[in-house]
Amino acid sequence: MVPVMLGVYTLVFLVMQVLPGDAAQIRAGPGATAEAIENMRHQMGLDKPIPVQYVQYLQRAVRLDFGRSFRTNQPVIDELKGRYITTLQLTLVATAIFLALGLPLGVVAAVNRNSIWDGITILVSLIGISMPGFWLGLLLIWYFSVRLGWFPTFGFESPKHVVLPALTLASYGIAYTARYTRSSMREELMQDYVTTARAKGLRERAVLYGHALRNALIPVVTQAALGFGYMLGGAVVIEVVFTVNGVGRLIVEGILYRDYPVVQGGVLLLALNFVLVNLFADIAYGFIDPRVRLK
Amino acid sequence: MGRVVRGENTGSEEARLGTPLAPLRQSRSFYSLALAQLLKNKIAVIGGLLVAAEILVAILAPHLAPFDPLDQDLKSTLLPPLTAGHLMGTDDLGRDILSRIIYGARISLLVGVAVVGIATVVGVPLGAIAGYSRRFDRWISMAVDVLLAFPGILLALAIVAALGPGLVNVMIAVGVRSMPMYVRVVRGQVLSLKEREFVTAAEAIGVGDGGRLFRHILPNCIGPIIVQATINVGTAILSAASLSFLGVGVQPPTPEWGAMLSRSRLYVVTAPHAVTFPGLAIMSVVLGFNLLGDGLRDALDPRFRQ
Repeated sequence: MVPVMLGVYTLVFLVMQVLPGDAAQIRAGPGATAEAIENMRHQMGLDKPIPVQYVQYLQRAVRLDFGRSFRTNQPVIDELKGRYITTLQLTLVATAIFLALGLPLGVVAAVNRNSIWDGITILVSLIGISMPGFWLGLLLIWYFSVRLGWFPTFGFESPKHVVLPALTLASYGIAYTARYTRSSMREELMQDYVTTARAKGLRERAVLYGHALRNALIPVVTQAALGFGYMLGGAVVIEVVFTVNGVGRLIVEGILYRDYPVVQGGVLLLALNFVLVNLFADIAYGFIDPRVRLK
Repeated sequence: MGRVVRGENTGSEEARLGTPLAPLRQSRSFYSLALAQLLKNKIAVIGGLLVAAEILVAILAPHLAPFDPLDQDLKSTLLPPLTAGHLMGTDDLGRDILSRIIYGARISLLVGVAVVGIATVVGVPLGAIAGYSRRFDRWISMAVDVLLAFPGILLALAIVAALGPGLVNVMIAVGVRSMPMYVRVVRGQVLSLKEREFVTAAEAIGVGDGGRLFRHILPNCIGPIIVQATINVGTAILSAASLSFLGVGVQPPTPEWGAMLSRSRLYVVTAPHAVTFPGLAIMSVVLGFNLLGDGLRDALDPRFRQ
C-alpha cells in the first residue's frame, strides 16, 4: 500500500508539472508586475529545482498539507474537510442503497433461474451498467423534482436532498451487484455441498440462505468495497448534476478556474481513500474466507 | 493460424488413421466456430446490431442528417419533437437535435476506437512482458496498481486538467485510464499459457524468449483481448461523454453527446426532450458494445460452447 501511495503522489506531482499556465502568475493575480510574480514564485518554492520541489511536496502532502487555494487563499485542506464529509455521506447512502437493492435482486434471480425475476435482473443490470449516471440524474430531476415536486432539485441540506443523488450514484452499483451476486450464487448452487444439504433433508430455505448464500457472499463483499471506493470517483459527476458541494464538484471547479492546489488535494484525498478501502476489503476477505486466512 | 493451439490442424491425424474424419465439423477453425456460437446468442446479436447501426450512422451522417448539426436558428429554439420537420426537436440555439445526434455518433465512435487503440498498443505488450518476465512484472504491476488507485473517472479528469480540454486530449486521458485493464488481462493469460506444453516445445526446438512470447503465446491471448476491447469501447464512450458533460472534454459547438447534455440540463424544466435523446443515444451505443462483448466472451471461451 505504501509503494502504491508513493506512486500516486508521484504521478499527481508529475501531472501537476505539465499543467498549462504559470502557477505563480495565476496566484499573483491578473495585472501583477513581473517583480510580484517573481516574489510569488519564490514564496511558493517554485524557483527551486524540481527534485527539491518533489521532496518538499511529498513532505507536505503526507501531512495532508496541499498548500493554499489560488481562488480563496484558504488552506486546501480546510476547503476539503466539509466537502469531504458531504461526499462521504452521499457515497455511504449510495452504498446502502446498492446493497439493499442489488443483493436481493441477484439472489432472487439465481434461485429462480430463468424465471421472470431472472429476466428482470438481467435487464436492470444491463441498463444500469450502460446508462450514463448524469443522464439518469437529469431524468430523475425532471420527473421527481420538476413534475412531481417530491424532491428538491439541487443542494444537500436535508435527508430529502440526499435521495435522488444517492439513488443516481447507486445505479451502477445496483446493476453490478445484482449481476455479480447472481452469477456467484448460481455457481454455489451447482456445488456438491448443496446437493448434500438437500439430500440430508434440509429445508430449501436453510440450503439457500444457510449454506449457499453464505459462500456466495464472499466475493460479493470485495466487490461491495470496491463499489464504495469506485463511487467516490463516480460522485464527481453526480455532484455536478445535483449541485452538491462535495469534493468532486470542488475538483471540477478547480479545473475550470485553474485552481490547481485544490485539484491536486482533492484527487489525492479521493485516491488515498480508495486505496484504504481496498486495503480494508483485502483484510475483511481474510476474516470471511478461511481459505484465504490459511495462506 | 497453425500456431494457435485451439485451431490445430487435423491433417496428420487423418493420414495416420487412413480414413477421412468427419469433414465439416473437423475442418472448421476456432474462429468460425466462435462466430457460429455468437450468432446463436440472441442478446449478442442485438448488441451487434446496435453497434452496426452506430457505425452505419457515423459513416452515412451527411446523408442521414436532415439539417446541418451546427446550423443555428434563433427563431425556433427548444422546439418540441415532431415540429417543423425536427423529429427530435431543437436545442436552445435552434439546432436540430437529430442531426446533432447523428453527427455525434462519429465523435463517440472515434473516441471509442482511439481509446481502444491507445490502450491496446501500450497495454498488451506491457501485460505480455509482465506475465512472461518476473523481473519486469514487479515494476509493471506496481505501475498498474498506481493507475488503478484513482477511482472512477478521477485519473482521466486529472490528465485532462493537465493537458487541457479537446477531443484528442480526452482520447489520451481515457486511453491511459483504460490501459491497466489490458495489462491485467494479458498478464494473466500469459502467466498461465507460458507453462503449457506448446511453449516448452517451442523452447525445445530453439525458439528464443521473444519468439515464444510474441509468436506462440500472444496469438493465444487474442480472444480475451477482443472481449476486453469490445467492452472498453462502450466504457470509453461513457467516460468521454462524462468528461464533456463536466465541461472539461470535447468543447462546444462540436455535436458531442455528453456536451449536448451538459448544455441542455439548464433547460430540463422547459425542454426535457433536449435531455432525453442524447442520453438515449449514449445508452444504446454503450449497451450495444456491452452485449456484444458479453456474447464474444461466451463464444470465444470453449468452456461455454454447447
